[in-house]
Amino acid sequence: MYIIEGQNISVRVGKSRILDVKEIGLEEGRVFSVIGPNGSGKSTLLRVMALLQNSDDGYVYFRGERVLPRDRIRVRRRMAVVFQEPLLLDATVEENIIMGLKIRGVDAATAKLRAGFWLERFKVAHLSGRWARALSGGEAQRVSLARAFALEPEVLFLDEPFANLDAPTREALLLELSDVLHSTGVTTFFVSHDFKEVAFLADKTMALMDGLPVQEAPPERILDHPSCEKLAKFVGIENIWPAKILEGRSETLIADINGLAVAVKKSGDLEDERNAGAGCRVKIALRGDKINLIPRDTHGSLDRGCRMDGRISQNCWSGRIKSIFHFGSTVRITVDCGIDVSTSVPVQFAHTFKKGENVEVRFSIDAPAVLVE
Amino acid sequence: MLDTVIDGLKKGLILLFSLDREVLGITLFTLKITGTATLISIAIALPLALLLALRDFPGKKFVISLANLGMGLPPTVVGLWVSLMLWRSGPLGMLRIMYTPAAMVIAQTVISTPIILALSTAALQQIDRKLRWQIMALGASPLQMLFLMLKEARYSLMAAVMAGFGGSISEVGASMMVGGNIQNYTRVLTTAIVLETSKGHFDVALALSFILMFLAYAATLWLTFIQQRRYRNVYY
Amino acid sequence: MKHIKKTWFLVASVMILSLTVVLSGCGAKTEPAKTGTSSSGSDAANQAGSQTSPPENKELILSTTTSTQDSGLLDVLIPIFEEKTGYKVKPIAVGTGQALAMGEKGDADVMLVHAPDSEIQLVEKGAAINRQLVMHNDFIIVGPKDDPAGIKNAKDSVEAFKSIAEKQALFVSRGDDSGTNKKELELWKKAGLGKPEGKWYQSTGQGMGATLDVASEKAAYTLTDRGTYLAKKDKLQLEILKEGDASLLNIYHVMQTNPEYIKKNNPNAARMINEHGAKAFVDFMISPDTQKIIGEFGKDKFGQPLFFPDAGKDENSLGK
Repeated sequence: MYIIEGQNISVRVGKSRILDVKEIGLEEGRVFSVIGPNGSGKSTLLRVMALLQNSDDGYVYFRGERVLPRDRIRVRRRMAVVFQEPLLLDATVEENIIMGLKIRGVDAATAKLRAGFWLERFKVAHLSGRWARALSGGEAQRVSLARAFALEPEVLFLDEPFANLDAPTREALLLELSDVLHSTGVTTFFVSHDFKEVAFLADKTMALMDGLPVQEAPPERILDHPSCEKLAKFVGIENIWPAKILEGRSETLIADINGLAVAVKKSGDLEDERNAGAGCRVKIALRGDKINLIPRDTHGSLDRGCRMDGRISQNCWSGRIKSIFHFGSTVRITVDCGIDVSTSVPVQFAHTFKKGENVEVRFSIDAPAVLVE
Repeated sequence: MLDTVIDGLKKGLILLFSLDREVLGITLFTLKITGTATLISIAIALPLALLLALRDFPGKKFVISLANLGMGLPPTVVGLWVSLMLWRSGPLGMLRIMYTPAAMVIAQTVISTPIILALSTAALQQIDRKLRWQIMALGASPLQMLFLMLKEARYSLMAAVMAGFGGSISEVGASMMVGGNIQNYTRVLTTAIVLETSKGHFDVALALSFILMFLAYAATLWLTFIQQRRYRNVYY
Repeated sequence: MKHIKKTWFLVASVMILSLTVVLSGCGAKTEPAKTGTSSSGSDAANQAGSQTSPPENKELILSTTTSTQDSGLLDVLIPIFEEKTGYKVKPIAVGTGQALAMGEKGDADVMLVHAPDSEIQLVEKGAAINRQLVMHNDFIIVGPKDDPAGIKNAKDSVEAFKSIAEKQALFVSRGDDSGTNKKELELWKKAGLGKPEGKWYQSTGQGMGATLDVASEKAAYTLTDRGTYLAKKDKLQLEILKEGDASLLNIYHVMQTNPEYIKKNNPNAARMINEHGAKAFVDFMISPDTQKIIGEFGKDKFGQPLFFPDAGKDENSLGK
């Protein structure tokens, strides 16, 4: 049974529907994340689930019971929310934490004790007498997290809690938060647009596009096998090619991308992919980091290493390096194989490649994803 | 000119520190009238401000624009309208409160309510909408929410109240018109200053003006002090 | 619906909360300080067992001119009247125009003013009754010591005004429709000038005291009542340049509002008029005791009286 569950969640602004989620549920003790670009409705979904905003239809269930309007405050008091901004009250750090507990009727002594514990845990105990508005962004967000955990919620909602922090602060806090989440085992609803954060924290991820859930899967699965082109672009997949399926019945399907053959092992969990038969127009998505670039020796055979025991295990294409761009620590290389294939290699390997040279592009048949529009 | 001021200052200080009965009486009466008017204004303006800041309803912008307009209401205009209402020949004449402290309280309330309303609405509206979500998420009941909102805006709200108080205590037109500047009855600092000046008693007028300035300054000083106090904590 | 009700309950609670907080904060300080004779007047009268029993309707609104208030005469007379009769007088000092209008509309019970022409109009209309001559003081023309228009040698005040206008010497007018202002305009008229205009003629729109200050600052001529001038003399750079002739007299009458007249327009207001109190005040003003006090008023301070008691005299005999 889900600890918190939403059915037919729908939010309209004026005439347009900005959120429409038929079903969403959080399993106890797990970190559930929602990912999507800005404006995809993920923060709205969080507010509806956290009972801060009404759904135009449908209901939120808490531990199997439908939450009625009169129950909202009571249920809210069993949850906690951390927003993108620290949203601390105009008081001292300690008072901020105690305020939340006071609202929930926790006695003063216990409140002080818990405040001390959680401030310590988030390494801001030394700031407890400071005025909350005088803290740095990182300090303030630590206080905000301490406030949420001090409430000992049954469900913790995190709405882009790291989005306003600089990179080093974000990384440090991400590690600490992950640690605290594992040790407390609190059920967490985590909203982010940053796939790295989601991949690091979440057990399960729902991808939201224009208010609609487009995929629900473990984060790494979404990263490699997004369900649609839009999501593929959002998760940063460099290569998306239109293709036509030549052979789709067996475990490995073969598709034609502008004259290039590609073999893709079916992942099995996407219905569209299963149903894609011969002649179907699809798109093939391939992450650049799944590609091996091999400088092509003048006498090598194209097929070497691409077939094992008569079965295809890798895709091997040959091409010529079209462009090399340096992006700090990585170098983006685009190879013309008849179609453009882009990949990124660490800067220390970049010298191996020169523009205009012939190379071989190899990638496993597990690597590409089939997107059926 | 300078002689008059120095002379007035001297006599004024003597009047002040000898606790002249009449001067003291006028001062306390002024505080009573303006204090009462300010309290009534708070009682009217604060709930309205909360309503305007926290709820959406049709005509809301119109009400806010009215309050903003009312902020600049000239006291003499208020005095005229309140007089027309309260004179025996006016529609509320039967109340018989013209030329009484009650009439002055009414006029000053009319002057300070829009000031307090407009400024406290702005103060409450400045609170981040997301902070309201956060307070809700903490599990606040509606009452706790209102309390925390008021607490959050307390410094700006105090400034709003002070502005209302300042507007009332320093106005002369309305108090003169509806109070009548009757000795020992409806004479406040400002009307007394006008009278003493026209009598040629510059010393008394100056003494009263120093008291008025002191009161206004004390209020501002107090406000500044509590506003600054919270920043002190930053540096321990 | 339920939600809205709740909100209103909260709003009300906050209102009460804020009230109590502020009240407890400064309640002690704002205790009223009733000083002086205002509240004790009638009580003292009762204890002393004065001639009249305490009146039912104590409130008596006296509309008068700023000049009477500024002179301080009312501060002396009103406490005596209140003690004697038990009435509570509210003297409202405004411009003559408003003082008369207040009587005409029934917003005042009794008037003490000095604009005979307008007063007579009011009496003829029936709005005012029981008009009695009380006293007079006189207007004087004051100006800078060097007297640029040479009015000292003028035959009378009208001649003086003529020569001020001819020389275009700076003249400051109250311009506030007060009795003094009306008197001044009357003099201009008599001098054949109608309403004077030009850079030399400036209007302050303020009371006599303030107007004297302006005249002094600008070394200008002005028309003033003697009382205000004497009270402020030390602080002014102005001298008396013309005084004494009949047209400079400032004659005060007291008169009652007529409830019968008010009733026609506004029965409600008429019901509130304190007719007995007004009559008592008129009687008081013309009583020999009061007349004596008026005659003495100002002597100790200025060496000469500010007002001349005239009760019972013929108005036309004054200044002759």
